[in-house]
Amino acid sequence: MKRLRWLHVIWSLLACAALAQPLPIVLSAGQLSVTVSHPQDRESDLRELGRQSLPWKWDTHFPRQSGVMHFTFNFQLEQTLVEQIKGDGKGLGLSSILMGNRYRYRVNGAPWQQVGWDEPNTQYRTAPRWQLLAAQHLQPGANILELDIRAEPASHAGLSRIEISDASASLAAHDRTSNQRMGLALMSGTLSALICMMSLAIWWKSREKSFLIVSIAQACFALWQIDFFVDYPPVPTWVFNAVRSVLYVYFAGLMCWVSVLLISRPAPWLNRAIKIYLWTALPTLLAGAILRDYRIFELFWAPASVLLVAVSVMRFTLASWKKSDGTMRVNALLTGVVVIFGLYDLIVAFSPAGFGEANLVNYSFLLSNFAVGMMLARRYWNMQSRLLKLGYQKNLEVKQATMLERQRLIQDIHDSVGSQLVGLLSLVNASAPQNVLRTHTFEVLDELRMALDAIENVDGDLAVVLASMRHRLQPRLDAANIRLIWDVEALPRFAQLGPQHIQHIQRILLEIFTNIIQHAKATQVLFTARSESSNLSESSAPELTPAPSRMIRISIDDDGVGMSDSSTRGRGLDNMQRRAAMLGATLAVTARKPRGTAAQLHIPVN
Amino acid sequence: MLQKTQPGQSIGIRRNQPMKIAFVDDSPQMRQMIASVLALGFPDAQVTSFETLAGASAFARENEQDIWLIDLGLPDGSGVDLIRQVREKFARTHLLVITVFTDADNIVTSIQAGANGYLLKEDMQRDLPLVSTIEAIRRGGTPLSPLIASRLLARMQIPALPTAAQQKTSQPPLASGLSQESGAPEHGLTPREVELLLLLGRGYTYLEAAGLMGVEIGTVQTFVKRIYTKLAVNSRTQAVFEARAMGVML
Repeated sequence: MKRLRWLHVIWSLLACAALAQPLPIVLSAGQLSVTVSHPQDRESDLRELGRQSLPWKWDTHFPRQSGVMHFTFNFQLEQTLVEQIKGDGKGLGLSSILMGNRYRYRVNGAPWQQVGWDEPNTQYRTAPRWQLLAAQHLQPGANILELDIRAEPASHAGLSRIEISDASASLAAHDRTSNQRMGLALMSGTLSALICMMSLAIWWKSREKSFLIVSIAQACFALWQIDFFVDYPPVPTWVFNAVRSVLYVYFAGLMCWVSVLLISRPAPWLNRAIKIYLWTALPTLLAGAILRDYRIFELFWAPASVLLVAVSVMRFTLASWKKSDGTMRVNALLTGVVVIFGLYDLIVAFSPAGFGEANLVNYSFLLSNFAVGMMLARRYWNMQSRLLKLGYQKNLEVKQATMLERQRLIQDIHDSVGSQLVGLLSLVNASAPQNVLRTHTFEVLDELRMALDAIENVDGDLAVVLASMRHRLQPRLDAANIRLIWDVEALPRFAQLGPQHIQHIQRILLEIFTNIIQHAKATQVLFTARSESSNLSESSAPELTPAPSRMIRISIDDDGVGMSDSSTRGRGLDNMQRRAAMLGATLAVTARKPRGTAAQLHIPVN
Repeated sequence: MLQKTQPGQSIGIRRNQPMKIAFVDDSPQMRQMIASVLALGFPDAQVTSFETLAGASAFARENEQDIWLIDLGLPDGSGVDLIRQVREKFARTHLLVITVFTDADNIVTSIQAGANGYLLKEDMQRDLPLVSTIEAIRRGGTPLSPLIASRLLARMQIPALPTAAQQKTSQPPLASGLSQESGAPEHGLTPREVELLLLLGRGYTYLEAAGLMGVEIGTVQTFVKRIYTKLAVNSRTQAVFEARAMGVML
């Protein structure tokens, strides 16, 4: 093995041009041999790959396997440059956008310099590297750089092009890049965490689903930034990478879902696509991670997320453009930038020059997350002001309604209970018989109960009103020996059923029942309440009703003597008709064959 | 009228012991009337009466009664507190609310606090009923008015109105399948009990409801008795739920 390695060194020395290169020296190809491990039989074999150009990705050549890459590079240094470097006592800077990230290197057979070489775990995203090639190890003419990189499957192990240049200048450049990257990650993460907490708080207050989804998505994004700060994670590589991929995929999927929720126009196919995406992402990514094969992410989930985002953004942009809503437009544009950058990154990642050099998407995410934050704040503000306005208006309406209601109640109690009490007082004064007083007192009580029933909140349930009515009337019917057959089905909600409506219905029905008890000499009454579509009822012409609206039909059929033509009954009927008109209802009182009367009240529900 | 009773007497069957009835009402006329009605209806009973919540409460703590008649609007507090107090200590005492008019919300609250029934004061003036109501309460529960039944349903969050599927059928929609729709019922009522409450809320009498449900009137009374008990048991869960709902609203 060792001998083979030395053969490389000699070969490359021979192959190299004798001319010394000016700085910076770019190493874009090198001799490579790899040690591939076989975990099953605990053996490894060394393979010669010859001259390979950079960037070189381990996973492309040896997916699902671990091992070590042994790179050997050859570069020429001018005599004067070497003298100058040795004079400075520093050396040369070696920088690469991606190296490793567990590696060791040496120049001209000097002792190995190790970077993370003994770390058990690594991670997917690797940071740019800078190493010093110490002055004392450099020599004029041919120099040999050996670089060993340990690789684990799905850990983005590999090497991008290496640049050898002036130590202080390249270190400064490296620091700048690193700080920019770190700063960006820190900003993105903090912003996302803030948006996450903000939307979580709004969700807690409003219970609006979209805020919760935004919150989870932003939490994913914030956590996704963690690999900028952790070179060697404390958990196994495959676990760390799986979590990272999942976070990314769900961030994209959930944000698409939110965009769908924010647009009122439905798109079932997109909903279905997002649903499938969200449901299948976790199992496939986990399966890939367990098999130590991250290709499922690169080949499927990364393009799928970009595609999904692209489609969602296009819809979102179109919809928000039509709404001519400034914030929505800005947001759509910024998300559009994410897609373009994402596509660019994807193309770069697949191109030979790529591998860790494309990072535009992170910048655009920062912008789009900022836009999401703005939109959330605006949406919350709108919601609050709407609620406030609504509350204010409602308050005003309630006040007015309460005042009207109070006046009506006073009037009503005055009319019914008041006059009855005066009547009672006159009976007492006239020393009326005990049973007359008793009957009259009960009538006053009944009046009062009816008035109170009318103000009970029944939440639009007319059946309860009818039921309470029966409850009140039953003793009187029993006393008159009239059998009541009750047939009330569950009725649809009568949205505008207020005290006034209830009172009209009560009075109409009471009038009908009073007639039956006092005049009809009936033995049996059939009370039916049904809900039906108005265009099916025979009383209204179907072509006149544009949409089928629901009606409640109440019918009271007795087997009494039928209608008499007395003027008092006529007045009662007029009164009932007037009340029915105020309800928007129709009342029909007809004679039944062979005997009895049929009263029908049709009340529109909406 | 105030008679001493021995605290800590055994509960349960008291066939050979005089029945113990206590009541609280702030109106002297009402107290007199109730006392005379009770004296006529239950000549052997030990009857104790109170004017205030404080007096009744102190007595209730020490003395188990067979029947408590409780007026809700007392000068020094609500009778609901007394109901709760008695119910917590004595599971077998029958609690009857006596009130003016159908104060639906207070009655529902009383039932949830543990009352077994209610009686309207004006109904006591008719040829009815205190004695027969007490008998009814011991058999089952006292009648539930439609409004009370519908309020109870609303509190249990059971829709009193038909669903689309039920509306299609011409039959009066019964509660078959209703409990399945609402998932595992938190209120603890069986579908049959819910069905009964729905029918009562629509104005059917016990007898008619029994006919529609295809059971004996005695079964309906048993249902009512169970409804009273379950609603009292579940009132705590309900209170927790309402508190949570309010927390969400804030």
